[in-house]
Amino acid sequence: MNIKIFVGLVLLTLLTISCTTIKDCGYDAVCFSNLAKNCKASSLNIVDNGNLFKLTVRGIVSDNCEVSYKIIKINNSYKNEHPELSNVIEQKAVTCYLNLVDTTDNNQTYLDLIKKFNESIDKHCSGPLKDIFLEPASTELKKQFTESIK
Amino acid sequence: MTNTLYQSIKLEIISIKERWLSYFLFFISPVIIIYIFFIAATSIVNWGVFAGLNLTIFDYLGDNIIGIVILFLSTQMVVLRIVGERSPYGTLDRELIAIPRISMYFGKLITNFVFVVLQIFFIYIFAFQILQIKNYANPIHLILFYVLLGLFGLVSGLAISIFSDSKEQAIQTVPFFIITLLILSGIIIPIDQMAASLKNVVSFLPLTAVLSALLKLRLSGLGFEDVFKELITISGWIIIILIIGLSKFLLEKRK
Repeated sequence: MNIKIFVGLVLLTLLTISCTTIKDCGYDAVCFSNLAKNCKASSLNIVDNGNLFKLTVRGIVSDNCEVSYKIIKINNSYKNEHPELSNVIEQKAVTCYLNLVDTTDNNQTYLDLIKKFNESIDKHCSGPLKDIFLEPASTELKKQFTESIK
Repeated sequence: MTNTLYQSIKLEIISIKERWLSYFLFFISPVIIIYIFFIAATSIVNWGVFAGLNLTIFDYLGDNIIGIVILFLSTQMVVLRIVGERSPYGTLDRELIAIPRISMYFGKLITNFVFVVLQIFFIYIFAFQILQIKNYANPIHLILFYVLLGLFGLVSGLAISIFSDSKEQAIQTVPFFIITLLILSGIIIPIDQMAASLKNVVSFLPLTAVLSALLKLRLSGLGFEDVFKELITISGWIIIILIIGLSKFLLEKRK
């Protein structure tokens, strides 16, 4: 009995991990595009203008594509200009639930929706990053972030 | 074996029914503690990495209180379930006539685990639905970590019970165990301000790992993929403590 329970616990842990395995494309945008257009679990690091962002597609959840946008590191000039906001904004994320039904263009893929962060954030996203981007001081960073994703 | 496990679970349920008032207090005390904290912690957090997000101290530190309550109560709940019965004339001796030790261990673990899971759902509904603690995470992910912490508390409580020679010793060990984990959890001293020699070690402690994961999920908006390390850490602790406690229980000679 004890062996069965141990094996059960280990299998449960492995199952949990395997169910949520996300293909890490690193900095390879092509790898990410190929997977993200069909909302396959994948992640991409984006370095732009000294900022480091991360996009993570977690897959289809209740007919929506779950996507996370995360700010890992922001550039030094912004940090010097806004030290307090910088402290708050790093390592924060926003999660969006994107649906192709919401688009009028039939040729659009999930990748197209993922790139339109600026349009979807108000309606389809929630997370601390969304609240931070509402602050006027973060407008410049939000612009950089949106441009980087495009 | 399944039959004896079933018998053990039945005996544990009878024991719980006999001590219903004690279990009722276990059930409602978290809610009272959380509510007191809710009343006290209304100021807005204007420091650290969550400043400006309009969070109250209750929003910010809620997980810590919930986590400590779950760990303390689940440990306390079972800490006397074996030690008292290991005395020469205790009930365990009578139970052992019909039930092997392994079934007895898992009978107590499974029955109390069901109680802890129910308690966690009750805590979740109270803190997240009624008191509306700020949460950006998927509730299933949060509950999973609370349940793992509760399970860790149960295996630790049983291990303390197995290693203690008397009830007094078992009761004395619980505060020592919980307070040590609490000091090193990052609640009292933020981990980045701890002594350099401790910083790398403490993140592998069970309470620290769970509270860190809960904060990342609930307030930083990070995903489950960002808390694998913490998931592995708490799962590892559960398996290690379970093996240590069970091995001692199975191998010890009867007094």
